[in-house]
Amino acid sequence: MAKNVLIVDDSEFMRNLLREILEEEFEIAGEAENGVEAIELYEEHSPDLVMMDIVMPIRDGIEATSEIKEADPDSNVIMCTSIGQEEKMKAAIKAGADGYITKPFQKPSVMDAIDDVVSA
Amino acid sequence: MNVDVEALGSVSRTARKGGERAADNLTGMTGIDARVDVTGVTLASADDLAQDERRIGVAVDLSGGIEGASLLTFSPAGAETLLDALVPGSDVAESAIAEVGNVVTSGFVDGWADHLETTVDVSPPEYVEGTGAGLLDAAGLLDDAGPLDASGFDRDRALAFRSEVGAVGEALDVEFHLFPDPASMQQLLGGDGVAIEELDTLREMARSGARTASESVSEMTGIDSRVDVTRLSFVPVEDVPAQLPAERYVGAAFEFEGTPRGYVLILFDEASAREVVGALVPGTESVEEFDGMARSAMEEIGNVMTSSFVDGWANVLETTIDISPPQFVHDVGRAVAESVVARLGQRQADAVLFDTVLRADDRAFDCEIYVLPDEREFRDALDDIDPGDTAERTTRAGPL
Repeated sequence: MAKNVLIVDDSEFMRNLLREILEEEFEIAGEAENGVEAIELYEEHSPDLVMMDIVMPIRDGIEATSEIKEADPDSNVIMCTSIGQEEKMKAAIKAGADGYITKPFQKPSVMDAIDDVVSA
Repeated sequence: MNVDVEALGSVSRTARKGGERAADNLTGMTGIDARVDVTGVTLASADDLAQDERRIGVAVDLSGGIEGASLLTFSPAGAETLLDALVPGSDVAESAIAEVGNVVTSGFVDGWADHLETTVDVSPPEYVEGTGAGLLDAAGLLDDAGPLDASGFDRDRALAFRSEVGAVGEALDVEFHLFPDPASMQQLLGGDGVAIEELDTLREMARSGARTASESVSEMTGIDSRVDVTRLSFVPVEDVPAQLPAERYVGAAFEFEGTPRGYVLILFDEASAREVVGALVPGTESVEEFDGMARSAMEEIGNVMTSSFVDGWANVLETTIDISPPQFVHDVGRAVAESVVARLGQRQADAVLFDTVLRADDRAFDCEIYVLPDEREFRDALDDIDPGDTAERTTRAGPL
């Protein structure tokens, strides 16, 4: 059975791009535009994997990751960051993130990051 | 040579006096209502200083209170406007341009001389026309015996005073460059300031950041672009909007926080924006309104480019710079800049402006990147710059 994935990004374009990359091999559990929606959808669907943007309005990806990890320590969260967000990545690590991809990304780097996290 | 960065702002205002005098001279000769658009100090290579488009004008050597050279040019359309106003239907175009150029140059130079309480002698004007740095060559300024080359003018790292004069409702644009020789420049800007090499490190840093941004564009869209122009300018904050072209752009504005804080504008002309969204979101090649997915795509490419650009700064300055979510913009370049200047102007009178242009060889693609750091924090950051530092790209993906 295909694993399901939750996509979290405030950019409609990035959600669309990730969906196109992932939908061949994963079931898309849902899409969220901010950290609040991400937590709600995580509770509803318990996805195998979360692709989480960092900089988002209302609630950012670090806070959302922290809350998801607190509720479900076995969750798999991959952060989607732009180049140059080392400090935010450190905060994401502290929040419990399992992996990361840097924008702009292509399908192979996304799949490699997922393999690293899911097979760990 | 050392440059007192604080003095750059006051000298820019001296340049404005010259610009106002030149605009008055132009109005007096032609009856066209001319005004100063831009004054400032620009650090760039000779190639980046000059515009890509063909320009027509005069070169003049200076001696006395300021030693060096000047170049005053019009666009071909601006020259036509002048000729129509002065000698309609005449075949003395070259002579007329040289004479107007001479009078307007005198306005610029007199303004400087009065403000500095000195006298500056000017040589007879030499008519020139050409493109880019070729214009400087055509003027003989960079020849072995030319005034700039003879004075040790650094072609890769030229510091020049730049003014632009425009006209309301008329296709008339005047660009004036004043190139004081090193001794005169030291007199104007010298002090216990920063070495020009340090300023140039920042310009190189911007170029390096732009290269990374260009790579990101290529990776996302398949459009191969190159960094065409990188300039570092010091201008009165109210002059910033006039530094941007008066054409419509599509892109995104960002605020960054850290040391220094500031603003980034990523602007594509409308045709280029259509190329970009067409590459990112098939089926949107002919959009007019850039809403929905097209707008989201423009915000995201701006986001990735800004992160790529600013990353190098953060590395060199050994600091952390956070970037805000993108604010979509679709407006005339100057109007976009005004929104940033309104906020920047609350805390500073002078602005530090990096402007970079990305272009593609195989298609119409034009992207302009403007970065406006907080002026005081920028000066503080200069203290930590090590000439020779370069912006390096960080890692791309992996497990934690």
